[in-house]
Amino acid sequence: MNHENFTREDYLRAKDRQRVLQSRASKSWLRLIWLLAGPGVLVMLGENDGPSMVSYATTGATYGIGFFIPFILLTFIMAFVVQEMTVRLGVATHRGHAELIFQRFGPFWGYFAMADLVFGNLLTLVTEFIAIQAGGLYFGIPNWVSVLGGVLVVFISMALRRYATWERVALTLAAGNMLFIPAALLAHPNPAAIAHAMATWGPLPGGMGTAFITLILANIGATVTPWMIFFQQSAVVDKGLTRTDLAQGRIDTALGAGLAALAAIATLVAAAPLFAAHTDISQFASGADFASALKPLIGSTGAALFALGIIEAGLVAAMTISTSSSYALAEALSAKHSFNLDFASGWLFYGAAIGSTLFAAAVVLIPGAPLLAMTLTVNVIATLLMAPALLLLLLLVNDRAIMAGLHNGWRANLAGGAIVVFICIAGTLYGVITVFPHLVGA
Amino acid sequence: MSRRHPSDEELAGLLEQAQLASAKARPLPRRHLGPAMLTILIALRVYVILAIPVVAYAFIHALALGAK
Repeated sequence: MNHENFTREDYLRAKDRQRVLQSRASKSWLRLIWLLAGPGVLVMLGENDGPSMVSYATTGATYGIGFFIPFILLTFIMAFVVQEMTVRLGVATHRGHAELIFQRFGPFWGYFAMADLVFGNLLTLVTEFIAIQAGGLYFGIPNWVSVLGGVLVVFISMALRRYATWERVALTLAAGNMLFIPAALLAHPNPAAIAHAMATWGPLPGGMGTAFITLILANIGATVTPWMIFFQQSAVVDKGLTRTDLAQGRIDTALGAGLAALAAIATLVAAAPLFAAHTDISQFASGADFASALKPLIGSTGAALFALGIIEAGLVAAMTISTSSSYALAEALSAKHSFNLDFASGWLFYGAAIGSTLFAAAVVLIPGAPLLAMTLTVNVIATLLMAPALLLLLLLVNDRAIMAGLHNGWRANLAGGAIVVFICIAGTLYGVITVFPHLVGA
Repeated sequence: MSRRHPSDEELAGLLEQAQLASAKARPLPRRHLGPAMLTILIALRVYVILAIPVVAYAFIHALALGAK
């Protein structure tokens, strides 16, 4: 080993590996899971972001407890199938998603993938700050204070300059996603109704009109998006996972999917009293409006938990999505990319997150900015951009030259292919419904 | 942290060769894409290029409605 080649990044990663290997040797399985969990839980709870929670709340307020509870569970199974592929790619290649696309398919496809990601991430980041400021407004906090707080959280997390520490801070914040569970319990849901919905995929009051199709697509867009692919693969590499950790990487992803599904269903259940009360939500602009409307139905504690959950959802997603942009941009430009870098070595990596965060915060603070229209548009764009991102993922995970035995089997390809087709149809329908709302029923 | 730390050798042994920053800096060889795969990639690219203006239209339409 040439010492000159052993960088700070390597040193910190090796220290993390040392702890993992010690736990493996002493057969401390729970500690091993604790050490290796992170990217999967973060990516799933990160995707339970501001617009996603608004989508789930809208679903609960429009349809109550019924069809959408098992449907949300299904979308998270779909998310697990996709994200598990990124874990295998990460442990097999030790390279991020963007750099693999550039190196294996060339700059033409690389720049297209990057353009999709940067465009989608910037817009989504804006909606996270919309969620942060909307949640803050519920508690009477001025816009600029909430937005500045969000910016500071992202910057302080960056200043930690160590992947393991950044991950633990993000995980601690992400635990706030579970605030939607007590909020749901305060709505006093009928357990028999939930069990009935799970068993029968019903009821579906109102049938299959425009609202139904829009919410189906919004809920898909709330679960599987391009940034998740780029983030988890890069995080797995930055964390230093190897193929011996694949089982724990899968458990991490499954745990994340399970927790995120629980929080998503809890959000739907918490908002279901609005359906029972026939509340008109058509003029709601943000998650804060849901909290205000829920106050007389589930109490001030439940409503406050809901608003806090919306702030948390925006904060964690702001951290993970800005990081996703950082990894991808630095990888695409062959620059160093790791939270284990100092600022001088990783200036592009840190700079991308700082720049995109400042841009998003500034847009939210523009007086009269069309924040609601932006939130809705972002969901559409995320769904549309998912199909090419998924195809590139499938190509990479079937690339036997780099996967070294961890390539997809036929079942994974069938599931992945079906998801690409499903997302394409969903995206097309979503686009058509958005532009021509009168085409599909009333 | 000093790069000359005495335990560097031992710590480096805990990482796979491909995990070292120096190894990751070396690019992987380019892969040849067959015509079928290129067609699907181009089709999906066209799909996105056609769809984004539609979404932009919807966004502007929503803004116009909001301004009324």
